[in-house]
Amino acid sequence: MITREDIKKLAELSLIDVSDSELDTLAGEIDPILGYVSEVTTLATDDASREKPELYNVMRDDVVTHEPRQYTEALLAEAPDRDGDYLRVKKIL
Amino acid sequence: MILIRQPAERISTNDTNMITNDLTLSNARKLLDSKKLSAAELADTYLQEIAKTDGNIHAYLEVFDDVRTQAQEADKRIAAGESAPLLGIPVAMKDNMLIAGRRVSAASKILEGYMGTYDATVTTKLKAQGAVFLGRTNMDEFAMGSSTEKSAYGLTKNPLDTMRVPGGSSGGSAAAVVGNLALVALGSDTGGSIRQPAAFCGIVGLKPTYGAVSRHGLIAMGSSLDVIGPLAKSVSDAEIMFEAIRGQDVLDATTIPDDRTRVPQKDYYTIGVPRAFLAKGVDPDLLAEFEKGLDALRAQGHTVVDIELPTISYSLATYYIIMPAEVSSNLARFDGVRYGLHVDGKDRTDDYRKTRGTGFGKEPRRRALLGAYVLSSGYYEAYYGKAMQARDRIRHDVEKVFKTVDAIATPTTPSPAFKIGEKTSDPLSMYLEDIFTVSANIIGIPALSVPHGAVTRDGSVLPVGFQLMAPALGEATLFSLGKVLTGEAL
Repeated sequence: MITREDIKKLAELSLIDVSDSELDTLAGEIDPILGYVSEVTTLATDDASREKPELYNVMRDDVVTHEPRQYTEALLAEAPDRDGDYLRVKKIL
Repeated sequence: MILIRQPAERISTNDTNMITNDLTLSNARKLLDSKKLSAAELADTYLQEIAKTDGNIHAYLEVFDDVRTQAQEADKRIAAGESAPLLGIPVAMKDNMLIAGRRVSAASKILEGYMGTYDATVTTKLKAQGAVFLGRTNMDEFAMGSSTEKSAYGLTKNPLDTMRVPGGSSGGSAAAVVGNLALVALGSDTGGSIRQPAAFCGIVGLKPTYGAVSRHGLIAMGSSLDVIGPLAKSVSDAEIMFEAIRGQDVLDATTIPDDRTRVPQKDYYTIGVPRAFLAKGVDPDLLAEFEKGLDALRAQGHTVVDIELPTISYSLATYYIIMPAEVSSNLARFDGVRYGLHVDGKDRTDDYRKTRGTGFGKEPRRRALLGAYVLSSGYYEAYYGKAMQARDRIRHDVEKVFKTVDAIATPTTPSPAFKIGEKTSDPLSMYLEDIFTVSANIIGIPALSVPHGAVTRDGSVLPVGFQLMAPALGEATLFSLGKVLTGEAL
């Protein structure tokens, strides 16, 4: 049974502000979802029989692929707060 | 039905209202190349249609203000003798694919005002062919939903019955195509988001093989599940669109190398039906339509057999663990620092909390928290670990079945388009919409939904979707069988 306190902790971990009233709503919604998805545990799986899907590495030469400042302005233009080429945030330490 | 095609000679450029109704991509190509119709005229027709009806339907979040200019560019290329399948073709883009310099929001407040800083690979490919981008279509926020009711910018109505949802999350794209507000559209499919709206709107929707189409520039939801694909009026149109966007991409390491062999076309196919999976929870009328679809395949010489696939019924539970886990990770990038919404708090961490608390709607919050839960220490093995094992098991069992059949058939959805508001208060009932579609995403195989038959509900004739799944890179199988069902293969 997932509780209001569990939701509060998850919201804290996820850095999402959740109001007190929403904590109850979310607990009420997430609990039956977890109940439903728990059925995967009944699918007995023999670990030894696991097959690896076909995977391969993707490699490229370690070279610069674009001109200096080619994308700088376009990317920084989207920043909510900037100082020249820096993003401005509140004090970290 | 939607799939009536009109011979090219019957379409008169003097009567543009006639154009959009039954026009397909290949018809439009002929008209454009023979100069019977200009790309500008074609674009104008769609713009007029949008102006007339989209106020009510709300398929689009934004119609671009330079559509005519784009079309004129295409006309210049046509005049210069160039021809490409999509040159001058009006296309609608789901609001989660980037076009440099244009707004894109994934229908979320957290990306309000954000401009694409680069072209998605699909955008680059469409631009190279000279497609005309009409606008960006509505969707459930971050593609999380099955009804397009969960957009932060208002819901989209089903043009076939405006009391009902168009499905989701690519509901805006589906509504645009069936409502003649675009000739063809792109959507994305993480658990059924192309196929289910295609089914609800009576059109064709393709979820390609995972990695067949680059995800570069697609706003991520579940990265091991997401794939971009077409929504179209015919299987041929979907095929043309798929061929235009597919291919290996250095910017997406999960794309499939171009030298990998695709499943070749055959004259006659064997289609497997997982009977036990369809035994409960499916609307009986819809199941009857599904049987007629199987009959239509048999009538063309294909073989239909029953198959045992007990683990496939675990796909939905598996999906609703893996997907939220990937969501919680993918949504971590929205920090209010680099782009998008910023809401000020009392300190830096509080900035994050307030920005994300304000910017994410209910469904992304729910899924991010659910994902954090199934990944958290103490629960990881019980949920995420088990789900990954289940995923292997389901993949293994389906691949085994594909040794004896060429395709697997199910209805696309358990019921036809539901009414607006019918499932908004119960998230789990909305999730159950995905029961038949998620397996293809879990396994990474291609799947196609084609309209076949209809049911009547409260006086409305509602289309029914027939789903076909094939082994990886088996799109040709889906197109061949899909054309039988739509009557294109005659």
